[in-house]
Amino acid sequence: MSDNVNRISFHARPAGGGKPVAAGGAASAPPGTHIAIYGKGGIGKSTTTSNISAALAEAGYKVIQIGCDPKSDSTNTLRGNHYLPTILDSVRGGNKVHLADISATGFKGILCIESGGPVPGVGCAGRGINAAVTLLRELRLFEEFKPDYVLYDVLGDVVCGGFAVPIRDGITDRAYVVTSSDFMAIYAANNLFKAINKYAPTGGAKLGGVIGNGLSAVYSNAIIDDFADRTGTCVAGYVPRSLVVSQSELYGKTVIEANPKSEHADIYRALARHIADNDDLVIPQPLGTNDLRDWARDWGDRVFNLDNLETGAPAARVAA
Amino acid sequence: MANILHPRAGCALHGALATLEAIEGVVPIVHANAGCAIQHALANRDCGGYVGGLATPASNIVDKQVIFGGGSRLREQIKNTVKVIDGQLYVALGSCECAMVGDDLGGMAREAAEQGLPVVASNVAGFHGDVYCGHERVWRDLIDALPDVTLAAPSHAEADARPAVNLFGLFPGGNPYYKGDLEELRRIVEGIGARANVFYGPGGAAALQALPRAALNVVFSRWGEAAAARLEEKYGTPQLVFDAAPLGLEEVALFAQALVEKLDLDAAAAERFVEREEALAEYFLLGAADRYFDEAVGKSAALVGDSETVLRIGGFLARAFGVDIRAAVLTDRAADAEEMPLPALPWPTRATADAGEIDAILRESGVELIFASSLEAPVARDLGAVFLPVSHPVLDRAITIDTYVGARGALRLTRDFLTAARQIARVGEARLLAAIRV
Ligand SMILES: Nc1ncnc2c1ncn2[C@@H]1O[C@H](COP(=O)(O)OP(=O)(O)OP(=O)(O)O)[C@@H](O)[C@H]1O
Ligand SMILES: [Mg+2]
Repeated sequence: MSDNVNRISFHARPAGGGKPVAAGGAASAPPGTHIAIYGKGGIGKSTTTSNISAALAEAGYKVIQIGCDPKSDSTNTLRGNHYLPTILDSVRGGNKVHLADISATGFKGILCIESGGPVPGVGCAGRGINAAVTLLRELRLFEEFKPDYVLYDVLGDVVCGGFAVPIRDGITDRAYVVTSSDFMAIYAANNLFKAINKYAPTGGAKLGGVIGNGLSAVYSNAIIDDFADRTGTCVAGYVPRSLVVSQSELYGKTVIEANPKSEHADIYRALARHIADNDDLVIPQPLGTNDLRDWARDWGDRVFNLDNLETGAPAARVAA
Repeated sequence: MANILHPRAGCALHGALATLEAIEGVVPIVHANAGCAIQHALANRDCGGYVGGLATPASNIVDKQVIFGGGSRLREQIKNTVKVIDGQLYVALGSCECAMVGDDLGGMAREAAEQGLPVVASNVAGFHGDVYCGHERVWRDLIDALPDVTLAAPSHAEADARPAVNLFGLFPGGNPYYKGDLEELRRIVEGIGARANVFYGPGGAAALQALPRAALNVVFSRWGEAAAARLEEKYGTPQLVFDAAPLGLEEVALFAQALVEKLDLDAAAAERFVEREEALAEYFLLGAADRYFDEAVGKSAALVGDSETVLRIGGFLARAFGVDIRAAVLTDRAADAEEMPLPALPWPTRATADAGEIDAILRESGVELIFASSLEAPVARDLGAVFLPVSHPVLDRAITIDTYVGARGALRLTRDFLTAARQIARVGEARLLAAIRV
């Protein structure tokens, strides 16, 4: 209680005035750069986010990573796969939630938090994410921890309003989308662009860029480049598919921690540096449903030709 | 069970509505199912100020908006409301439905604000909590949004050298006499040389806009603390926190002294004001002393209401008239007693809003006087106790500038108390006479 407050009782003996509920809500922007990472399910959001966090922490920044996914596996590799109660687990318990119960300090001091969610098939996960993020603000997490970077690893597709919360309401000011060169991954990225496009004009987050991940084919980078080009965005980095990533995950660690000298560690470091420095945020121009289909077919043709060139084997051309 | 049959108050949305309705010039726009706004109006027949009650702008969303999102419906509702209702500030209130489907309430308000309309948003989904929770939330959102919003047709405060004081903690949805109470507080604050910034009163919207420039935030209950804390955080405004509004000359003197010290006012002038008030009270009370000694000594009472009301009125009754308070029921603290300790009162105290429990407490108490809400009127009648309506809801009495605060409130409470004592004495006399005749 500040010195600025005088308490005077007319009545009885007030039992040591407790604190009023801390006011939460969208006050002035909380400290730190707040970044949301989106992308199709299983595309590598958590892996990429954790490696970016690790690289930022290694570079001396204070980092918080918040998993906004009922699976609550976002920060596993940052803290050796140990069990961490989620925010919503604690909320479900009904007791007052304390920051210490729902956070763990991981690699190089990264503060790890998982929002958690309801049991699959019941309740409303979107509302859950919303409530979890609000609770963190009410606990004054950002004012207390004073992070340089906060990364939100948001689950798969933006299926309903709840999952768009991190990119509106002034929670984050920038989003990145992880995608491979597969059509469905690009499709999901395009959907996210639609959400950003909708919310950015009224104060929602803008797009920082596209992160290519799990790229293995020779044409993968070109597809992602072209998609970024068509939608008025840019590519923040390309992460090839690699066994180092899988192996590190099996050890319960990020690549940065498990294989710091590997080429992949440097790729993640470069990506982290780009994200830390990049202030060029855009409102993407998503492709319309038919445009996206035409664009994909066009690439189908090109890949067909490329494959023929490489293998020399005559392949049946898909009917146009 | 009983609480389900007779809920005292509504949800967070209703708390926000009650708050906004009380601010003249502010127009709530409810973004909810048909039914959310009408419930509030039906439960509060005296509600509605500048706008509100049965005439509350609402989006009345249906299935379509739940599936596809209700943002555009709200946008339309904002646009139309601004056209037909002249307000200085519009507040879009979010409901359970709109929170569940994730409607971007804030975005819609910002969009309107960009077109130069004074619109802010507040997420007060009913499931967040009770009316008090809604009251706190809407205040928080108003405080956060206001510096960036220019009110339509702001009334320019005349140049005034006196320091302004914001008054927080009297909740219109919990204290049925808030209008008169605030007028009395304004009179006292001005009497001791400061200026009261009263939101729930004439020119409320202008008072809102002047909020950050106040020299002091005065808080009269737990429900104003969050707002004052937020304002201190944002503007460094100091706070003076009381456990209740002052009632009676003793408390008025204490209140005046605290204000004088905090604001560095002219102590002698404030003292003169308090002395005048004392002289006036004495003048009116002189004839009452005999009546008191004849009929009103050693009365017993129970109180039911929000903690501020119970503390204020109970404290005065006990001190001024030696009333034996046998039960104090705090109806606003049932939900959060764990979070913040209850005030330690010198009377048997319970925090509950459950009608059945309250009924049992009152029956158990065996008191002669029951200061409570109209919900307790039937049990009071049943017990043969005199009922005095002091807390929400008051349905038995029309209320205008009546107050139970300050110097005038003390006179009024004295009148009510002595009248009640008279009633009790009459009943006693009648019984006696009947017994003699037999
Ligand atoms: N560049 C890569 N090279 C090899 N394996 C990768 C790469 N990126 C991700 N993976 C692997 O892909 C799997 C899925 O990754 P991850 O859990 O990060 O995806 P996600 O997008 O977070 O999934 P979800 O949507 O289920 O949360 C993991 O086993 C991970 O190790
Ligand atoms: Mg994941």
